[in-house]
Amino acid sequence: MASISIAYDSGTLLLSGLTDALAAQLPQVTWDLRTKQWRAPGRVYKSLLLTLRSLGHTFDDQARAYDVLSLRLAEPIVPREHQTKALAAWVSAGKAGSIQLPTGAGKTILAVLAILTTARSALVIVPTIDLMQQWETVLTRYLQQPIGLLGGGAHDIQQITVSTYDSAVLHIERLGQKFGFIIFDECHHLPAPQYQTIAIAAIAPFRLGLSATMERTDGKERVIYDLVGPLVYEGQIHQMADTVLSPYDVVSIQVLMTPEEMTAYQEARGLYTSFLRRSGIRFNSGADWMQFVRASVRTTDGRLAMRAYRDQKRLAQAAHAKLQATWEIIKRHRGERVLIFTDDNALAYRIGREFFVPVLTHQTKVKERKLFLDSFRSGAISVLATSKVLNEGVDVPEASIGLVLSGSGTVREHVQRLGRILRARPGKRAVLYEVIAQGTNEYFVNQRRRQHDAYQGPSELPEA
Amino acid sequence: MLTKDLLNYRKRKERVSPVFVAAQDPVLTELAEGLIEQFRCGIGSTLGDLDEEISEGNWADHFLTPAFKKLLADRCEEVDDDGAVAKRRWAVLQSAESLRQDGIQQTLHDFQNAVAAAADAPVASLKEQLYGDLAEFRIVKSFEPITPAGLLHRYNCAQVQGLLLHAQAVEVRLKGATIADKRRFFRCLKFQRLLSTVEPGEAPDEVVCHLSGPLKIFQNTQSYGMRLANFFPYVLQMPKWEMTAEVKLQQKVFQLELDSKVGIISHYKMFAPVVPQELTAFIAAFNAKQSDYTAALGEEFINLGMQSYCCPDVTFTAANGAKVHLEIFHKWHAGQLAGRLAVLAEAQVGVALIIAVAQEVAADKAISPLLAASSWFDHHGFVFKNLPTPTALQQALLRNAAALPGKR
Repeated sequence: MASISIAYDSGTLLLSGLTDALAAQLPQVTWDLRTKQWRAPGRVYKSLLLTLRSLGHTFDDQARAYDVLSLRLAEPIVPREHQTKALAAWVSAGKAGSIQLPTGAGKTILAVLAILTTARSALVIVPTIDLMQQWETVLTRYLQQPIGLLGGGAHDIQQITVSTYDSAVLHIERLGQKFGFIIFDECHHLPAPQYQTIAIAAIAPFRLGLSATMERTDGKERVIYDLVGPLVYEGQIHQMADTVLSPYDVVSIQVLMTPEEMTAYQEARGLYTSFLRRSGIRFNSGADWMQFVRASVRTTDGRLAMRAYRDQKRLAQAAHAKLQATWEIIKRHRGERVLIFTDDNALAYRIGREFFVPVLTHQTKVKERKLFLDSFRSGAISVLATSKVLNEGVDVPEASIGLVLSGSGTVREHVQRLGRILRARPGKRAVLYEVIAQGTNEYFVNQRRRQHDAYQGPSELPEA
Repeated sequence: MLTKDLLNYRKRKERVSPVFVAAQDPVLTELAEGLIEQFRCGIGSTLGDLDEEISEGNWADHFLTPAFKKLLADRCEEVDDDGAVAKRRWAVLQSAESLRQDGIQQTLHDFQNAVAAAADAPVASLKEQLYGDLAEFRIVKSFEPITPAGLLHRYNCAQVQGLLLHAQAVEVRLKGATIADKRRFFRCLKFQRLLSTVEPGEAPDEVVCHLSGPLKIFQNTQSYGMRLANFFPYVLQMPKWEMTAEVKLQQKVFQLELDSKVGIISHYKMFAPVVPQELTAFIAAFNAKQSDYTAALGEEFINLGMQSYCCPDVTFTAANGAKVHLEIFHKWHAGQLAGRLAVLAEAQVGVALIIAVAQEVAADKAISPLLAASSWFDHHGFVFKNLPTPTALQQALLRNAAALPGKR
């Protein structure tokens, strides 16, 4: 009988030397008519090897191209209680599982401890370039070895590499066998169809999913548990406020639009909503939005409705009084670090131009975004405006003031923005301002996101 | 390609159909001509200015303008400012920060004036130039020309590509494709890192290919959508084809059916296939000799397995219908030969294939040990000097008839 060998091929495992009888005992493998070979998805690597061994077969494993690492901490880490518990729960689950911890609770440090525990080549997947750079800094500091980067123009693969989700999708077919441990930071992104491929194509037996908000409105957190491992530990935001997170207030400020702005707003909103009524679009699902988008391309009425939609949104988001409120908040918190969040790039750049502050969006080049973030952290710059790129994970412990000028109604986005200013520091009390144009749709959007746990905690929620 | 909002298609029951434009439509040709001209003359302007000019022009409200504009913008190359704007920006931001920390200015208006004074520029232009390197402010350096008809075809192709981005499975039927067409088709398929099953169709000159990526057999993934979309222009280059795709739109799967009658002209460059004269001469010479086989130009496309396809140069057919294929490896095929020997050693080939290797390739230091180790070559191969001769082939056919895997 030919000896069994397992090779890695573009996200899959190719098995040669299998008899039909043996293949029938391997639920993981399928006969691929296209290439006339036995094939399995990369993710089943561990279970496939265990099955072959349990059946008493030896095999030549050409698939595995990852190393056992000899790692030592460059400086000691004293884990907090919740980190110790979370790590223990993950190890008990066979080093494959998901952990939910609020922003600021030390997910990156937990990941460093997990890398030490597995001692395998590790690939960390993160949603943004800023997070990629932040992980690189932390990993370099504690592990003191070259950290590879994949994304934002970087393509340097090392035994420990940090990649953006987007770049990992592009390269996982070539990298899937090179890492024994894969970490999905902000893993609530993973269920996106494109991103799932990363977890399916990788052979890494050890897996860790990290997020502050595992739950998804579409219920697809089960995809995370399937591809990474079950939820093994969960810490809530209000349980950690005042301990590992700084105490915080959420302050809503309602501003009045000028009469001209309000007239223009109502006119545009009327045009937009009447088109929706005429077209029978109710926005019950994401498909309705696409229906509106397509209608706006096809008909003149639709084009006018889309323009009206944008106008009413822009008017509410960028009301003159909001700019005034922003100026007052910046003045009030002079000397503190202020993060300004907007819903789109246009408003972020408008804020940038009006207040002469740095703006961080997906258009900001890597070198400049590093300059902006480093300067913000060091205090050389005290105000930073951003649309959505800083929503997640980027560590700016010095930031204590968040100012939301516009945003979606999703709870996740709001909790993540809150998380940016919650990193604990002695004597710090964070404030998240939400500036809402009175009498506009923003009020209802604001009410929707206020249903989250983060708003039910110990801090006061004063209305301005 | 086009963004989602620029796609125009109809969904009816289980089917989705792109809404194409007539490539000869005089009104659309005029629209295309006008926009192309604006882009052609727009070299040196910013993309934002171009956008504004178009939005003020006669065609601003035409429903196709946004899509054409996107396709034309994709053909533009922008000037790289080498970070000069970013450098100026940083100086202004630092100066503004210092003024903010001083806290002297009580109103936003005063603050803006102070920043402008420090930069020695009017407030309005300072604001405008602060983020002057954003996409809309970038200057167009060059524009890749296109004809109006080309743009209309490109639009139609992009409508299909936009749907294929969401494709889970694609089936292509090639009809009447020559061996050179098929070679190109599968070479491009491999280039796009796609896999395919290859089955004979109902008609004798028909081949059915199911296109997908390696992981497709394990999940209904749309991950190969971009590759399938990029591959579609190659399908357009085939003489006669039919395509069926499963497209997932808003969680529902629709069937997309198209064929070569849509008449879309591919924007990919195509090189005409050439049959070498020597090969035609060899076939004629072989058939002039007495033999149990009749030689013909290779017309078959054989899936050897392991993602390896073979387009035999010549196929020999015996009176009983049994076929033996010949693949010739000249010096420019040396790289392919190494791969072929590896596949023949491992794959479950199940086809009668003789390989003829040029002498200088066989003498190559890298190839020579591979040939020596190849059991397939030992049984079904031979070396030739300039071209395989009919006599050498007859001998090879006779010598190897018993050992060949048999008719296909």
